[in-house]
Amino acid sequence: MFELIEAMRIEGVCAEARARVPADLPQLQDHFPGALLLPGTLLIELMAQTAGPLLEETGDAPRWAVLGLVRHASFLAPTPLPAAIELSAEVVRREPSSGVARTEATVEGEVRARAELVFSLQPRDPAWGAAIAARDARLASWLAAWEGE
Amino acid sequence: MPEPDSETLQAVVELVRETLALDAETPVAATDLLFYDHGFTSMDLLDLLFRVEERFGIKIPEGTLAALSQGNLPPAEFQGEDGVLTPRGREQLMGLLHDTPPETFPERIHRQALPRYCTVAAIARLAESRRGT
Repeated sequence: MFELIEAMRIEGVCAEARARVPADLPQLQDHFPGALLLPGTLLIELMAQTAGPLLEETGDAPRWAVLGLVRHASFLAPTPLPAAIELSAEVVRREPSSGVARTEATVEGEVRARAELVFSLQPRDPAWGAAIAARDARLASWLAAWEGE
Repeated sequence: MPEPDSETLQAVVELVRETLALDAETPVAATDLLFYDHGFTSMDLLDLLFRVEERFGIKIPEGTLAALSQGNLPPAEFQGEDGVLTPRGREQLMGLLHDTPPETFPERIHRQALPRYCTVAAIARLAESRRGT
């Protein structure tokens, strides 16, 4: 539904990702007519899509990261569409059942948003098999795309 | 844990209000149970603990309440392999959370559910116990 990340790199407790948001996404056409802006909530979603896999990949056991809290969020400047967005995340806290990442979204070298995202880290329930397989395939393609650049 | 001083307790009351976006007129008492009286969720608790950490400059790692409840009790005497507290472990938890009405505690309490039984004052006591650690 909202898979706009194209490439990702995870190194230690940090991740970087690149997303491209086109100007012709139907769901964004009324935000705002003639002056399309990426809603801040969707910017947070992209930051979460970067931080979630980072937290999942840095733990001892396989986990499923579910966004639970958005803390200290600031939207520093609007993001007109289309936009090429650089995303970054750093794990600042890891507990057995939760994790915190500091994240930023940058466009053309200018930070547009930053937030601290708190995730619930849940055991990988076999009932979510299809979702987990899709997540694994998506992350693998993002990592491969970064390697290929 | 000794009783918290009034300044710490008042600070925690304010942080509970901030966490739930309650106005100043909404009563929050020391003996209120976070989950039962204020409808806390596990994420609300995490949010509150982060605020407490920032306010007092302390760290409260996951499992702190269980560790305090366990005290010097050997792990096997505190909880079973399924994570459910033993009768002795339950007794120690009830001693630690002495201002929680005894009838609130079910017979079987899982280690991960301990924060459900905290009062506002228990969080203040927890904050004070973590100072200097």
